[in-house]
Amino acid sequence: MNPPIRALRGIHIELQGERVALLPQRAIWWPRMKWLIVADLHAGKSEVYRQHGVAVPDGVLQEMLRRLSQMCEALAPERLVILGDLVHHADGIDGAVRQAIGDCFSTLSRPALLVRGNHDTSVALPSTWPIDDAGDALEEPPFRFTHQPSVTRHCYTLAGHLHPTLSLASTTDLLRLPCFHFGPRLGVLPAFSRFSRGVPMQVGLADRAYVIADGELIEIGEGDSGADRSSLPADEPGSKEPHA
Amino acid sequence: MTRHPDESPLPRELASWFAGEGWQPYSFQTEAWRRWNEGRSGLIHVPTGAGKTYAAYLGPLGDCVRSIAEGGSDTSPPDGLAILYITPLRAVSRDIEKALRRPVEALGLPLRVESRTGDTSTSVRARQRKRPPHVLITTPESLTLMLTQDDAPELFKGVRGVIIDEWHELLSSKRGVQVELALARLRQFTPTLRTWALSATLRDVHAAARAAVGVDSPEPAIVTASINRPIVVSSLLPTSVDRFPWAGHLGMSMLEPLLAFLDPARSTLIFTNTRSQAERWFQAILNARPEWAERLALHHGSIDRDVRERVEAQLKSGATTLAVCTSSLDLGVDFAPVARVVQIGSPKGIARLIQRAGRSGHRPGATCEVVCVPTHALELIEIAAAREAIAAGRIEERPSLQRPLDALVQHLVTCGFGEGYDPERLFDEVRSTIAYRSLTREEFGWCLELVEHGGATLKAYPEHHRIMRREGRCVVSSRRLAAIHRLNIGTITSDATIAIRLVRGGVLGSIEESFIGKLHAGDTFVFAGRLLEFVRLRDATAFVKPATKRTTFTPHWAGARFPLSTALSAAMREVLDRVARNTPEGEGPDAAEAEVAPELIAARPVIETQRALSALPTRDETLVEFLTSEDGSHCFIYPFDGRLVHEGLAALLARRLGRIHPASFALSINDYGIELLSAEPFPFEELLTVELFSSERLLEDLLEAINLGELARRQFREVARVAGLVPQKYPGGERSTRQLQAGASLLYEVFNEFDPDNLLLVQARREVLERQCEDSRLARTLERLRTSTLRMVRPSRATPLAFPLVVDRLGTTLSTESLRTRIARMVGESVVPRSDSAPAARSRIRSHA
Repeated sequence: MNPPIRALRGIHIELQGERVALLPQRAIWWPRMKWLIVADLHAGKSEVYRQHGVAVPDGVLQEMLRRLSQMCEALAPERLVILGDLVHHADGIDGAVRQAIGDCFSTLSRPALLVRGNHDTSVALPSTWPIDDAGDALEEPPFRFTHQPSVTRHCYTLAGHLHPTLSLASTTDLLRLPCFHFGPRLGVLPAFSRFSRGVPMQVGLADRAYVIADGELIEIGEGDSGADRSSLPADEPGSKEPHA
Repeated sequence: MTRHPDESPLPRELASWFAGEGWQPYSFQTEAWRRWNEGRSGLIHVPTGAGKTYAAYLGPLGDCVRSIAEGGSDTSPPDGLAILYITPLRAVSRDIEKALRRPVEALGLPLRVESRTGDTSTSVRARQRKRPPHVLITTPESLTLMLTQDDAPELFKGVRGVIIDEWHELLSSKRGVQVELALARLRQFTPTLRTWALSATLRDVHAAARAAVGVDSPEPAIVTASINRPIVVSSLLPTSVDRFPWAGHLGMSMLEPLLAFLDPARSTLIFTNTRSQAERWFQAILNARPEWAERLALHHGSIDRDVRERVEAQLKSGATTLAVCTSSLDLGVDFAPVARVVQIGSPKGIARLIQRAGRSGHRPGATCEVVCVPTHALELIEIAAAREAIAAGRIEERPSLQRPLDALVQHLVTCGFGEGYDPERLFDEVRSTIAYRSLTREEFGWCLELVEHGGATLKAYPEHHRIMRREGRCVVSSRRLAAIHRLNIGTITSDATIAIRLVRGGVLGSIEESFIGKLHAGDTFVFAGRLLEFVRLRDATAFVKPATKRTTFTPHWAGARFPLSTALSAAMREVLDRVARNTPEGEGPDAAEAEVAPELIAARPVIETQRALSALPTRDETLVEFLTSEDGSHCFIYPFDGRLVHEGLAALLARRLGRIHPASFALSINDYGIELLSAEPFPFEELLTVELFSSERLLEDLLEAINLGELARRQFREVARVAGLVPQKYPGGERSTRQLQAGASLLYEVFNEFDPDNLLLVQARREVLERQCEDSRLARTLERLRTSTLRMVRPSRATPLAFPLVVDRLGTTLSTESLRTRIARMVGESVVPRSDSAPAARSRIRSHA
């Protein structure tokens, strides 16, 4: 395994014949192109909350940018690709946010490539940020990069937007964790920002999912065990919930 | 001035009005008036419906009468607010207003009596601002809001007396703390202010009186009445409980006996403990007796206020005679005609049962009777225990909360309106309340720093500098922040609710968002006593229409369950002890003594099943049951100490057991006991010793357990809202937008990671300890368990005591294992990723480590 990937505690998977690495720092590394792919940074979200009187403590953005810099140092990407929602809202882009992102992005070898997300569309991004606008979609076969999940015939889509999470439950335990989710034609990245609430995903027969737990990735999925599926007892979680 | 002892302390015209109404003053009323004339403050502690209101009111009103008389011309009334009447329930303010206005109108006094609550229109408020009434009825929230008026010192300057009604309801809550703080403020404006609290059913009257008058006041007077109102507790008994003796659920099987008891010709309040229970019983009664539809009503806190008020009016007029209700009808509104009171399910507390019983025979001297309807065989034991506790006069304590910083943070902004405050003086003022008498300078400084500079983390954000200095005084820094603060004053926090509106018609009430979130178009449910079909959700309103198909789906409201109180828990252990020592054959120490309570005879099948399968604990024993099922290893422990204590105890035990032997437990809790369940075999029998109940390192272990579990997260939500970290409302009806759906639990995580020493987080944890777990109570419970004999039994199946814990598992978990181990087991044991709608496929884990 590639040493930097191992150091980041990432894992390699094969997607459309391409070898990519999933990183527990909530990013995908595409070695052939040397692209580092992230989604949903929601910069300025804490600031928007604060403007509405919600006292979010400091440090969310700083932690996120530290995580990004750590990966960039280890991997020296050719391109940083952002699958939308770089910013949360125009109101949140104050001087400090502008400065912090500008500083972080200017250490990149080339401008970041931004696929516009629903939160980005109405915002004029600061000109001091080295960013190339990729519009609503970016194609680099075999992949197509968008913000909102959608499916096409000719390419495998990688998207963000959902902030996917996976809930695991048993009679004695319950966990909800951010995850990477890969279906037959569409893969969804976890939100890069940790100040985000996610959409619970399901893992179907043809799906694979990787949850992020304590800085490592654990695969949850149907995998290749289809043969014994028919013999399973029909246990439906939640069906025995009593109503008091 | 000398006065004959039998002469009325009231001015002559007031005394003769009182007599003219055909009333003879009770001695406690005369005493209260006399104490008022002596310039005292205090507490009037008499049973519900005995005439407290006039006992407190006619003293200060007498002062007004005298000063009008002294003023010579009765055309020029004294100016400004003279009497302030605080009630916890805005719904009853109109009735109080009527009562307070009666003598004023009868004597033609030039005094205005008005109410100001959250329901008061802005035009009326504006008028009241310009021309304050002489007597004002208000709520704690509206009073605090008035403190933010620029002219507050002027407005309250002339107040002679403050009357706090239903003080027992406010004590022990943050609303009570809010009142204490507001009163401290008023005393600054009016040092001669006299405070009179009114209360029923209190254990420690001196502490309650002290909380009302503050630390610095002279000894408060206590006025009590020896009005004898015997309370009779009886039950409707099930004819048979032996169908599932180990389960004990009686459910609706008590409907028939209840229907036989009810009589639409006799007005009856039917109290339930939860809103969903009220809905279900209302439906069941209506279905069985459709001919009662005209006389039957439903009343609970989620139903639209107009509808509730209509129900209250119909109850008073006698048009409605049967009302199924929740604690929404516990207080206020003296319905003269209520003849009978029914309690469905356990009352869970002695004071509450006394209060509810007091709604019947609402006349001094009359007997109060409450008829209990058990919904579970074990509740029969609770009813018998409640009767004994009432007879012995053992009721719950209600201590004032200790320095909740969130309420102080809010107060520091509230006081910054108008001229603002000098922080040194405010520190002394705040410390003159019972709630903050031990507040340290550091804590006060931290709170001030939070509102002035945003605390340690929000320094750079002017949006959070709610207070600024102007010539050394602390004042609110901007109009927008002032507007947000005004809208969010108060300490009542609730989950986001959604209005329920008929597609063709009006609003029926409101319901927790989480319930609506689970509904799909076409789903039917019961609400406000009607069968409804969910149509769509739009603009934060759930549109519904009358349903045509039947349903059994009743909304399940969160947080609506009362815990078994300390007093009732203790009484129940006593009763169980006696039952345990007496064999069914009638042998035992007490067998020869007086007759056994009928409830205990009715509960015999369950009691004897428990005895046969396992055991009944005596006073000095703690019953522990071990069971292995396909779910895993179960361990049941029965301290009989109420769910709040059990919640803390379960977390503590899981933490301590998990330290010896890492594991993940599902915790289940009810008023009788706890269950720890481990999916993997766990050596409970080997590890469970009395040492686990040691109070050594209690605080540390509890804090750890609380952090691992969900408790602090839940509590933080309330703390964050009260302290104004998460406003719930914005000016101009601006709702929180999509950009701003701040889950408080998400915020909790962010705080935990980025600002772990935040005092409000610390407070959230402390509140969990002190209130959720009632830590001193928990320490007492631990001491009792530690010195008890563990009676360990391995029954062949779930016993009557265990069964409710097994079926009512709440999904609380506590783990001392790594995430990887937990995931591996969950996935390995072929449990699937949980989805809310469709069942997912089986999953397997593949390790990439």
